[in-house]
Amino acid sequence: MACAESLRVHALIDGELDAAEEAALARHLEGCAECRSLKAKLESLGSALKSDLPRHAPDAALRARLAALLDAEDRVAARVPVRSARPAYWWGAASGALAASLLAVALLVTTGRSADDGVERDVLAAHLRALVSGRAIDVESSDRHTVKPWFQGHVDVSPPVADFASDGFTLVGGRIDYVDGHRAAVVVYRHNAHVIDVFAWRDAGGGAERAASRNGYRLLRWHAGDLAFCAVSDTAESELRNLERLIRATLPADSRE
Amino acid sequence: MTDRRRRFEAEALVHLDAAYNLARWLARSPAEADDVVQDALVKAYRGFDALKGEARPWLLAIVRNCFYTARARQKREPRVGDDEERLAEMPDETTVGPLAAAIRDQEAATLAAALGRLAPEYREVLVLREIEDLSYREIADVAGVPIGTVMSRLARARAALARIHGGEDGVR
Repeated sequence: MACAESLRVHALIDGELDAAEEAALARHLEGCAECRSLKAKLESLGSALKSDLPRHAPDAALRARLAALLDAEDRVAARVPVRSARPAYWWGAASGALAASLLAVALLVTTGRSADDGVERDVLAAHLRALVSGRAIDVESSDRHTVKPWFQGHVDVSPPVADFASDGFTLVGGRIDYVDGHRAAVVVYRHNAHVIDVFAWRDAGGGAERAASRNGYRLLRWHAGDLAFCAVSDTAESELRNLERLIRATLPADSRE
Repeated sequence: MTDRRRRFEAEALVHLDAAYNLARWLARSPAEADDVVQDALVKAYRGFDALKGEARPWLLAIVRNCFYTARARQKREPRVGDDEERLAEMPDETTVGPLAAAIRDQEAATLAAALGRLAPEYREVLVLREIEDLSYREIADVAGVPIGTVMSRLARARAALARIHGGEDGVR
C-alpha cells in the first residue's frame, strides 16, 4: 500500500511543488522511510530515463513532405476562400483568354451530351479546367505518403494512391475537384505525354463499368467498395483500363468489385 | 510566402521535433508516425487562427488526437498486427544498439522497450514529462485530462518502468 504522500514525491521530483509544499514534504520524508525510498528510486529512474530514452527527430524527407503539404494548403486557401459546394468560383475567377477557353470547353462539353447522368460531363469539364488553368495539381508529389494524407480533411474519401511508374503510370500529385456537386479526390498520373485524372467520390450505389468518349477524351467509370471512380484523359481507352486494373489491385480483395 | 504561413512556421512548426517525438513514441512504426505528423500539421495549419495561448501543448494535443483517431480507424478496419504482436515487435523498433552494445545500452534498450509496452495513455504522459519536459498543467492540456489524472498515470508509468530499471520491487 503506497503512502498517501507518494504523488507529492513525484511532484517534488518534477519540480511541481512550491517552497511551502517542499518544506512540508521534507518534514514528511524525515518520518516516512517508504517515501524516502521512493524518492531515491525516482531520482535513479529519472536520470536513467533522461539519458536512455531517445528523442526521435523527423528526417529530411518528412520535413520536405510537410513543406509540400503546407504549400498545397496555401494553394487551396488562395483558391477556395470558403467551402463551396459548387465550382462557381472557377468561372468568377476566370478572366480574358482563360475565360474564352473555358467557354469553348463548356460549349464542347455541353454539346456532347449523351445518356449519362452528368458525371462524365462534370469530370471532363473539371479535367479540362485543370489543364487549361495550369492548376492540375494541388499537392505535387510522386510519394503516396504525401498525397494520401493530404486528401484527409479535404474530402471525405480516402482513395487508393500509388505510384505505378514501373507500369508507365507515374503519380504526380493530387487535387480536389467537384463532380455532381460532391467533392472528389483527384489522383493525377502522367502516362507518356498524357495527363490522366482519376476522380474518386463516395457513392455506395454501385453501377456497371462504363467507357465513354467525348470530344477526343476517353472516360472510364467503375465502382469499387463505396467509391465511384472516373478516369479521364486523351490517351487510349485500353490505357485507362490498364490503370483501372492497377488501382483495383491496390484495394482490399473484398472491395475490388 | 503568406504572412499566415510565416507566423505558423515561427510559432508552431518550431515545435516539429516535439511533435514528431510524441508521434514516434505513440506509433508502432516510423511510417505510422510520419502519417500522424503529416495529418496533424495540416490540421494545425488549418486551425491555426483559433490558437490562443501556448503553441507547443496545442500542437502536441493535435498530434495526440490524430494518433488516436487513426488508431480507432485501424480498429474498425482490422488488419494483421494486434497488440500482442506489437509487444513483440516494439523492442526492435525502439532499440538502436548495434550488436556490440554494452550492458548500459542493453539497459537503455530494455527501458525504451518497457516504455513501448505501456498503454499509450501512460506512455504519452511519461514521454511528455521525461523527454519533452512539459509541466503537469501542459500535459493535462495535451491529454485533455485533469492534473490529478496526469499525476496518477505518471506514477503508474514510473512504477512499471522502475520494476525494469531497479529490480522486481520497483516503486509503488
